Amino acid sequence: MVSIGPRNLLRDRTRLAMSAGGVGFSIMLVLILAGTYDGFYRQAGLFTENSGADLFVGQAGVVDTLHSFSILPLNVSDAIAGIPGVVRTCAIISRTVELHVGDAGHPRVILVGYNESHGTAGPWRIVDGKRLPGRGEIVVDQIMARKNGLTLGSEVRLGDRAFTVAGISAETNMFIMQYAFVRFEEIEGIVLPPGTATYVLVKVSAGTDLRTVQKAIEARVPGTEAFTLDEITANNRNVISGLFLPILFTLYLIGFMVGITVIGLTVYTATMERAREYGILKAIGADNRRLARTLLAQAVLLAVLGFAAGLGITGLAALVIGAMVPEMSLYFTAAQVLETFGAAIGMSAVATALPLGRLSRIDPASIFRRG
Amino acid sequence: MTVDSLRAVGVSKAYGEGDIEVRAVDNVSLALRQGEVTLIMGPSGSGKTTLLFLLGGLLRPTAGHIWIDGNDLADLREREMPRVRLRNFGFVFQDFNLLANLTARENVQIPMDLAGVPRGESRERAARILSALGLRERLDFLPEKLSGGEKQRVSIARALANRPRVLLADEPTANLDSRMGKAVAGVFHRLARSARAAVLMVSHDSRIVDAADRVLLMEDGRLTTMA
Repeated sequence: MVSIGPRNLLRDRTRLAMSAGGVGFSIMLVLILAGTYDGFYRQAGLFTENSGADLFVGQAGVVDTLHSFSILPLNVSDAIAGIPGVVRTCAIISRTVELHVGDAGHPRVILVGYNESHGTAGPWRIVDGKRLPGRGEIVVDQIMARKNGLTLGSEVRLGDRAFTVAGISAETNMFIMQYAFVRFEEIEGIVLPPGTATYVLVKVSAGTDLRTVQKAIEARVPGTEAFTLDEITANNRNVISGLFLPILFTLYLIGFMVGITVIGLTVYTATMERAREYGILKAIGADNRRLARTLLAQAVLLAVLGFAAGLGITGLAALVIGAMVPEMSLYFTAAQVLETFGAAIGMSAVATALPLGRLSRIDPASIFRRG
Repeated sequence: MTVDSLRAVGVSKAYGEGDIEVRAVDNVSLALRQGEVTLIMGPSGSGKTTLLFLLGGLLRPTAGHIWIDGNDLADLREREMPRVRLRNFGFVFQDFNLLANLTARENVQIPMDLAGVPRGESRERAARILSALGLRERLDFLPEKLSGGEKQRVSIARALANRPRVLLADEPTANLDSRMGKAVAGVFHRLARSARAAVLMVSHDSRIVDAADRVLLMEDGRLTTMA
């Protein structure tokens, strides 16, 4: 079929550019929201995923590491170490604290105290300096470092205790806070009561059934609850889903509604301007299904152009956001981009409904009637 | 021997009811024959155009029957009408009614595309029809670049694209000067002969009478005189 719809749309380049821009902004909104959500979702699991442990043991009733507070006696670690199949245990402290940088900066961080000899729970990606802090040293996240002007050798304080920045880590940003890492003994008895830890990380021997060890821990060490890495990571991510999904979903819908409205209005205007021509088509023998295809072709073309514009705008927006709000971690995946493209095509289908309804009511005989 | 392409019996079209009923077309019977040009003349408001709507399946009669291709249009459902129009009728409009963003060739391709003719074939056939109408050099021109006479020939080419049984033309010479009007009427005459189509023109342009095999007069919704 000769492409009537796209031809009508392409005829008015200014309107097309403005409409594609409008659709592009709605696509940008959707992509940025999706990127933000996926960024948060990914971040929520990075600490546990990269902890190097097989099992995460916390206080009974604590099911995630983000908004639940676990406290365990340190001897729990020894008790777990005696369970068959357990190779190694590592008690860690994980608390939200306020650090002091110079006189003005008071960044809040998730401070992790760990024992480097066990090789678990430390920073997993270092961009500068060293991975394992020594006595009086701290590894801080690169975003926190950038925001607070910290470099290797800078000093930060926790209460009256001073730490020297010995490493800068990446992927340790957590929404508005970042992880920081010190040796366990540096904060033992300071951020938690003496003789306590937050979690015990467990390594099991190769070939050991994790479920068996998990059950044994819960049975033999009362007051604890053990999770596999997948479970605790999923629980952390579910916290993010629970917190953000309803909000993001609402904003998603707004983005889609804006896109649908822009496409709908553009196609409606382009269609009504040519209502007489559609009447001619009906008189000649085009049925409503054929006209729907013509409208859909216009709408899809607009959605594709808008999507392309949206990708460009999103790229620019991501650069600006990265520079101005580095904590806002955007994470884009090919699947997410494809889904958004599919949604854009869906927008165009929905947006066709209004002009199609109007078009289906055009009386083909009306084109013969003169003024 | 002539064959009826379309037959209308006792066709009426009334608007309103009771005391305010207006009969735009009143009990008209008519046969359009293969290879014959019929011209219906009459003053404005006599019902010519309404009759054309009815015969072309663009309006439903309130009484009577219109048979084409074995179908009584009155029996068909609304959603079946586009297909009937596509298969049986070619329409030529007073105002040309070409699609402004399509070239002359593409305008002629439209009915063929609607009928499912493959793209290559429709392009080739459109070029052939337009060339036969003297528009070989205008195939890729947009309507805005064509003269009135050229536009009317494109609209005739479009009407002929699917080789219709019946060609219906509504005031086809109204926007043309005398010379071009006669030329267009001549085209209808030749087409009726060569394509064996039944041609019905409604017009009050007396200059084209010579191109018609039959002239009917319409007044107050009735076909009153035959010449």
